[in-house]
Amino acid sequence: MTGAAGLERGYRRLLACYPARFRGEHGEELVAVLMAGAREGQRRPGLAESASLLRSGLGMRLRPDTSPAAGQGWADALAVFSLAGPVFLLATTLLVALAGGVYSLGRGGFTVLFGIPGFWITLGVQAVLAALVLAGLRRAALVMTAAAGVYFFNFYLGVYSSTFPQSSPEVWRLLAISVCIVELAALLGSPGPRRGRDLVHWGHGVVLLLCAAALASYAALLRQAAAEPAVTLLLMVIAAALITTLARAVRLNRYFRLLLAALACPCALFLAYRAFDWQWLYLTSYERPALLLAGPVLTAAVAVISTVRPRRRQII
Amino acid sequence: MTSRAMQEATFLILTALAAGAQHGYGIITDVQHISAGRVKLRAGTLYTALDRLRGEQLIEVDHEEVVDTRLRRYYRLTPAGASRLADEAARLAASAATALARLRLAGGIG
Repeated sequence: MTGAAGLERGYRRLLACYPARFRGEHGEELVAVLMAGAREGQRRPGLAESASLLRSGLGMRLRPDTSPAAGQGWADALAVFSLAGPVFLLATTLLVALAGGVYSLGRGGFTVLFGIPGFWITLGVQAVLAALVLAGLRRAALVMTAAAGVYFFNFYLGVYSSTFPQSSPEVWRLLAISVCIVELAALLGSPGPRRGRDLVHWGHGVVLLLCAAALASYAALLRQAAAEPAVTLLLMVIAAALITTLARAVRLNRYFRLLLAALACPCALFLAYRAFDWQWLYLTSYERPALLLAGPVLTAAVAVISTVRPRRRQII
Repeated sequence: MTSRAMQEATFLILTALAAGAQHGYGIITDVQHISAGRVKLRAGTLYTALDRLRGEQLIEVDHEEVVDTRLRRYYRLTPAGASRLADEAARLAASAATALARLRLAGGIG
């Protein structure tokens, strides 16, 4: 009896490598089948069976979930974003800093950057936010996102200009605020990062990493005095087209793709303004971010309303 | 453009269910029997396939029962699953018939 209990415990431990959605649906019957197929007196899962379970479970986590239970609506897109958004922002900051540092290596790029207290505060805020969502702490992440949003907005307006160089790429500063806006909507309108953990797969990782790389490349291009704004814009449009194609190919939820497009809105407007010298963007310090950030704000509002309305109908 | 060829494990699982609803362990033993012992499905592989086939609406849950405190879920083919299996069987039969006819022409078999 003890041997059977140990064997069952071993199988249940191996099932942890499957997504929670799958465990909830098939966990019990899978354990029943594994126990039925066990040899008389077997005390531990066999090597081949363990390898098969690990391969199937991890494979399932890496592939996009196409089951009806996986869901393809706003709530699931927001759940994935609530987990992936802060991690993406942290990765982008590191890549942008790396790109800037490598470019000015000969002129003490890294020393200059790492010697600035504002850089560490920004990095620290983003790292804490990423850690909170990875730990699945929705409420703490909500408070931290609101605080980070205020900090990044003041940072954008130049309130902390004495602690951080204003030469830091404006698109990156806009991205930090945009991520906070969408993250607030994601934490309010979805079951949160725990649900996001069940839905996220390698496709999200690859697409977000490419977005971060594109932004870091832009940051590096900005430091090239000879870089033409129109050429930079063209390169970014090509990068965006490639990323969009990839996002469709790996079957990312279309609402998640909309959230990414909302993040790209301020960057696209800013790049176009630089390339075409749009006069209408010469606005006051508050009007300009209000206009540039309209895309993420509107998308976040639509997302939250779309997720709250069906729930209200159910209550009635 | 024709539909993609089905993997052998998927074909055998659908074939096992063509005779009627079966639970997971029943499918494993039936697949082994159908394939004359050549294919022994692992539980992890089977349930990954069952999950995918349910997602594609080729199979559905028939009923559930509890035996010795263990859950048994029986699966059956959906009409779409039966049609897909029939198409695949016809495709394999046509390919096999062509192969045998050519071997006969070449004198490979009698």
